[in-house]
Amino acid sequence: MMDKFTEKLTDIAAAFENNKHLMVIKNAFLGIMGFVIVGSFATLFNAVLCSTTTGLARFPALSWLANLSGMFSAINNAAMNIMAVMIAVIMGFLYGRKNKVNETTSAMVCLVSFLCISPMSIDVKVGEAVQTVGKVLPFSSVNAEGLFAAMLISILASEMFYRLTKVEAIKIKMPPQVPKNIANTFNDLVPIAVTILVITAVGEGIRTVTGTYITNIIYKLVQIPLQKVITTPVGIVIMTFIALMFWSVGVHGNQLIASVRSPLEAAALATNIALVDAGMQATEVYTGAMWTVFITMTGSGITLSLILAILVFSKREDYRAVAKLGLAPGIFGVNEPIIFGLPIVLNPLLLVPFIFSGCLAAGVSYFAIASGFLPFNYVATPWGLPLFVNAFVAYGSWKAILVQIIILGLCFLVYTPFVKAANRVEQ
Amino acid sequence: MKIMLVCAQGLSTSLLVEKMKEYAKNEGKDYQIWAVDQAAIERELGNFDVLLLGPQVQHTLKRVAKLVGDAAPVAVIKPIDYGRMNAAGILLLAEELCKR
Repeated sequence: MMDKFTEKLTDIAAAFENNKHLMVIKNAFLGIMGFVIVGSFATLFNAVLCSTTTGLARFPALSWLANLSGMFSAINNAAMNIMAVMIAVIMGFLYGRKNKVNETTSAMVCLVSFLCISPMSIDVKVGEAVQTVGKVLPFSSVNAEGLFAAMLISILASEMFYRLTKVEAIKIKMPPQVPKNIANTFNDLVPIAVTILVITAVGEGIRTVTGTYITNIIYKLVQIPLQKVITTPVGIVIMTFIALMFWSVGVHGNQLIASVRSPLEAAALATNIALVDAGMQATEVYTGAMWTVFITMTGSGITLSLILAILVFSKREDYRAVAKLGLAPGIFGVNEPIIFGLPIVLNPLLLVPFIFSGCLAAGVSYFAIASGFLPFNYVATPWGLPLFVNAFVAYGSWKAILVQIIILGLCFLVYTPFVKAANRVEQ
Repeated sequence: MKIMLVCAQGLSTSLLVEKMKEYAKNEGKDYQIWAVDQAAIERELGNFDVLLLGPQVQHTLKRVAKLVGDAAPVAVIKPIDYGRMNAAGILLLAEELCKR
């Protein structure tokens, strides 16, 4: 039965992995990660350095720090508030590479298509009257609120462009004396024009009928409901459970669900940053940091607790050897030595506490943030920071380290009886 | 022999690479061993004599084998060897694959 189960899950994993769209989405969000980190740190510096209410600038001797605020705001605006544009460009580029068409052309087709269906004016209140200012791109459509629109349009635009470049009938025939590159430029022209025209026409059509931009409709009908459903405590625990189920047959579960997690994490982080930047209270409990710092702390399944339980209670030489091998990598969140070395994979005895520990960590950390015990996260935290350091960087509070210790302790209790039971199993 | 290891992010495997290099050196074997993430395979085509996948990405075997084609043998490292960083066993696997 276990064989069948493994086969099924591995098949699903392969199907995910071979899905062009999911892979492009996953890699696109990997591509913007560095900029999201820089943008979020700019907000952090504004809050702890330049703010005259919460930052060092509140002390008269350091009041000059307030002058740096413009710089950090510019960085944050540029890195965070055009997130949808970045995603459209990178997705277009990655599709170009996958489809073996000109990568930069594919990127630009996605960018222009996305902008064509985005609002290019903004309503401003002047006294009582509302005035429309034209020739602007409002942040609200190209920032994280436009993420899903950018993703959907990029999928459509790049696929349409790719298919059109394969149609012989619309290729412009050049005499053989004309250099090949010139012919190529012309051959891309019709697909570019048709793709942009069709997408813009559909967007305009929808706007005429509904009175709303399609970007806004996608935001309200797709992005918000998805965010709401997946980032509830139940949604987060289910996500954790799915990732751990894949790990239990040896497949990298976190990577597999990254195409679902990353867009939501990016959008949630952007929401928190915008609120903190405006001096308001952040609202999103679930961000990427919660996943890295708590749910998969020391590796999926909180395996540092297992290592500690083995070092205290295990009488098995093989377990103790693997635990020692896995201790240092575990502190940095790498737990493949434990998962494959003990192994946890396909080991009915250890799979139970493994899956339970991860879900427990999800529940405890959600409660710690939602109850107000921990501040909300608005700093993107790179994966690979050591335990405790990552918690402090992400949440800016010693309490975050305390929550990590509580989770480690609870999971230690979860693993202990199973480690003792393993003593009785023959090596 | 040039051995390339592939895992999800290239991180967990880089630990193993160090162990394998050390072992190969002690055996007096002049091997080139390095680790990359999945996305880098295409870029590295032609640079390796054998490609070994970490067990956490074993579900990509079919796709990777197709991508590499006849250029080099591709195989998945045995989970227990990977987890316990059995450098000797993994080098043996690489050598046997190359002989074929």
